[in-house]
Amino acid sequence: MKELEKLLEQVTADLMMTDHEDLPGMARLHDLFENIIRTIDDDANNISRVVQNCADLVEKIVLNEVSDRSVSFMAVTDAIIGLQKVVRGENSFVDIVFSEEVAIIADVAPIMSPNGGTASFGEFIEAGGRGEVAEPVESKEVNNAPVGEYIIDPSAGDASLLADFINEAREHCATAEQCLMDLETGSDNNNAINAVFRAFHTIKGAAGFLDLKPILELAHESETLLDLGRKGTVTIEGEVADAAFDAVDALRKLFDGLEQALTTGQPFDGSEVMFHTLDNVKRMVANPDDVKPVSPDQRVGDILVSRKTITQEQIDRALANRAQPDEKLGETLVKQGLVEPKKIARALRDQKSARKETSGKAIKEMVKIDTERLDRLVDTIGELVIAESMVGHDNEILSIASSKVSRNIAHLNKITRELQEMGMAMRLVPVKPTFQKLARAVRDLTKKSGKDVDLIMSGEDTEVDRSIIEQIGDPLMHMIRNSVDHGIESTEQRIAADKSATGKVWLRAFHKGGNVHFEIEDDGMGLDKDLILTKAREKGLIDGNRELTDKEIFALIFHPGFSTAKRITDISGRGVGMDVVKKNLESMRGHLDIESVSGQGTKFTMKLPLTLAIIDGMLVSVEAEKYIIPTLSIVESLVLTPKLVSTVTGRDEMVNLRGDLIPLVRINQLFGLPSETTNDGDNNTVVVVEDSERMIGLVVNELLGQQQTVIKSLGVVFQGQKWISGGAILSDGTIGLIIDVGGVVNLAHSLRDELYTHHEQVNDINEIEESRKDPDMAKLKMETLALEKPVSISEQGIPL
Amino acid sequence: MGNATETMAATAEAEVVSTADRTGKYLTFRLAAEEYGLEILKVREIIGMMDITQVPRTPHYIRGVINLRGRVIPVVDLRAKFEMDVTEDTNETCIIVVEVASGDGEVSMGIRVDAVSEVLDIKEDQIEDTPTFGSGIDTRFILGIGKIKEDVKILLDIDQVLTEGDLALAANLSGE
Repeated sequence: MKELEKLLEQVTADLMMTDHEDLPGMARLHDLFENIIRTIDDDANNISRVVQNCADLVEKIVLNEVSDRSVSFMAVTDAIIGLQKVVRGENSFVDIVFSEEVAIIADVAPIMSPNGGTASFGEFIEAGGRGEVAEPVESKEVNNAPVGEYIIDPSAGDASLLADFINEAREHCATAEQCLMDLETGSDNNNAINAVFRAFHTIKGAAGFLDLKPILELAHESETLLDLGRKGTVTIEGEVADAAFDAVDALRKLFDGLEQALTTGQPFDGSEVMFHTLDNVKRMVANPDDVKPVSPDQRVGDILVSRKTITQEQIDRALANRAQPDEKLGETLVKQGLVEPKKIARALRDQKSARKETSGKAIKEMVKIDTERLDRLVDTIGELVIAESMVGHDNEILSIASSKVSRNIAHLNKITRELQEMGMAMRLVPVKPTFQKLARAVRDLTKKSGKDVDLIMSGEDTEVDRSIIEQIGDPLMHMIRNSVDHGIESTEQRIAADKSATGKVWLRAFHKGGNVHFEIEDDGMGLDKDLILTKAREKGLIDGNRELTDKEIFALIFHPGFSTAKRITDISGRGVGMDVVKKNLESMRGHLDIESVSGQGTKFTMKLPLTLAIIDGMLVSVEAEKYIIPTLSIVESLVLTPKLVSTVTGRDEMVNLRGDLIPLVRINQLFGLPSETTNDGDNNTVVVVEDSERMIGLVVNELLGQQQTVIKSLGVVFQGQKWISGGAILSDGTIGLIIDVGGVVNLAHSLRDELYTHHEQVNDINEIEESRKDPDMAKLKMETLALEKPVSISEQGIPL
Repeated sequence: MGNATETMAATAEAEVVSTADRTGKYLTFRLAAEEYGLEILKVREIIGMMDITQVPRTPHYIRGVINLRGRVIPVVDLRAKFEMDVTEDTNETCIIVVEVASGDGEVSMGIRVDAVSEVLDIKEDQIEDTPTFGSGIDTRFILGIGKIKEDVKILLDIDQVLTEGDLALAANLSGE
């Protein structure tokens, strides 16, 4: 009782200093109220209820959900004063005059009965409100005095020092987060705790040196909390882990604020970020014993129950009869003879293996290099490779019959190739950090959605090019969110469907077939084909009666705005994600596959080239020019004999490929290349390519071989045209233009339109050129341009 | 009378305003029978003629692209751009690589010229404004006409020459 009195006193004192506009003040009050509720014994049920309601009301005031904040605030004040009187014994609960608002706070009106009818509420309170409450555990009072300015002023420090600090501090946060996650999954790893401690400690030190008070304070409290963890006073799990995560997040926000302050020059007010988190951490530091223990459910007991080795009741009884309060359940069960040691051991082993193990890898020594320098180095290596190849392929040099020269050139070649590999390797980064971010997101998501989801990752050490890592994060995040939010069902649904209560999401990365694969698989509800079809028909995305293959149905989800979600959460469901994911992937020359079985789960597979800087392509010659066709798009190639070609209405050319009619496009004509050879269909080669499910045959002169070459962008000048996606520097130093298959197909379409509508008009500058040189050629081109079957095309045309 | 003075004053003022200080060093080169110059500060390098890879379906004044030590640079034929006759390359033909302002950065482009002459110091008082006779070249391209002794050099605003074309190019080629 004394305790409650003291606390209420504190509250009143604070109330005096606060008003309904003082947000930090009210937040403090809120914490005080929570503290009270936690502290007092629950016999005085009504007092805690009133306090809880006060806390809720304060929250509403802060969030501006009440009609008149000052009135509500007065109500809170009144209620507290009233409570104080009750607690001091001056009044009974019933006697206190409550304003309407306070009555609501106290839930009094509906219960109070002036005649003391049904078990008079007031009497009940009087009995409980005056000294029959068990003495609550002595809690140290949390120091709630206002804690200095939370303003970060960038002008106070050296900008470059601050910038460096931000970079390093962010890294420390990342390390801390990683170790916290390791701890959460059960590795009782002192190393991990130490690492988190050190991270906070370092940030604290640097912040102190740079005079960044808010960061210093938060880091200091967090460090203290972790120190308690090191000493064993608290275990870093559950609430404590949450607080540590919150601290990391808050620190990150402060760093962002500092960065912002640096760029804009305006001081950053960190109060909002700091407030709740700081007090939370402080409270835990001050009251380590109040930390709610982790429920025993996640432990060995759970495993044993599920294996039917023992019942929950037996476990409970065993726990109650424990010799010592902190004896491990396993030991207890063995001591009491309830379970064979073998079974305990197996359960423990399985528990351990199911949890992630922290890697025992020795920390590698790293050097920080400016990325610009690294890029320049890699570029220069690229140039060296090209120059070396030019020397090695030079005919004059090749004709030198000296063995010494050949040996030296071979040696040169070998070293250059090694350099090239090293250069490429320097651009590679493991996907681990990205996966860590995703793991963190899943953790937060499962908390939010209340579902039980296990994220199983594999292949975190897979390395991909830096350029890909930057862009793969968002699509992966979106798809994981989809899986957790829409794929995995709620625990009840799962049990009803005879699945394990915990949903599983797999995140895998691996190299395969010269590409890097990312897989996101879940064992949730799968994609509902019928639902998708119906939705698509509703939106008019497909014709009413067209038959679609499974793949095509699944591909419908990529349309912007398409969603079958029945409820939209802030996580996902708005239909703005999948099309962005697809676009993202396509810009990386990647590919997305979907597999799904209704009721069992879904699997998304993303295939990406190993690096965006190098393309694997087939070099072809067309007249005097050479082009590269990306291997990813090639289906097959064949020699074109006149027999294989059929024409439709004398214009369109097609080739019969085992029953399929593939339209032909003659590259020389499409690109307006002067004819150097007498081709006309004699022994040319057709390369059949695929673009978004459309197949088309590109007619070239011959295949020159497969090449892996560095892609160079053509620059802004050529940005507008879509049929060449870049240039590759060939081994003889010339440039091979890379054909963009989709662009060429569209070009062919649009040309056809143009020519059919403006048959006589030649408005293509190249055509003018051509006709100047060879009028017959131009005419011939127009008449025999091979094009695909007519498809409805909207805004395509070539204005020139 | 008053009106005429006013107009004269206005034009005089306009002339004064339009004459920025064009003193500087210029790299002079030849196109057909004419001599041109461009600001030396914009010149990155001069290279001899090399194989140019054509890019299909681009305007005729875009010769194509070249590989410049690992970078891909577009090459513009100035003769074609100025609607002159296109001639065969000789062993004096060069490519001048310039840096032009484009969008929010600088872009390297090559221009093919018949021959490169020399670097000249030209002062503002040696430069006259372009008379507006309907010449083939858009007067926007020309900074001014430089008179060194007896020779006339047409000083080009290379940013205008190359970028104005680009925008049209980009727009034209986005045919989809």
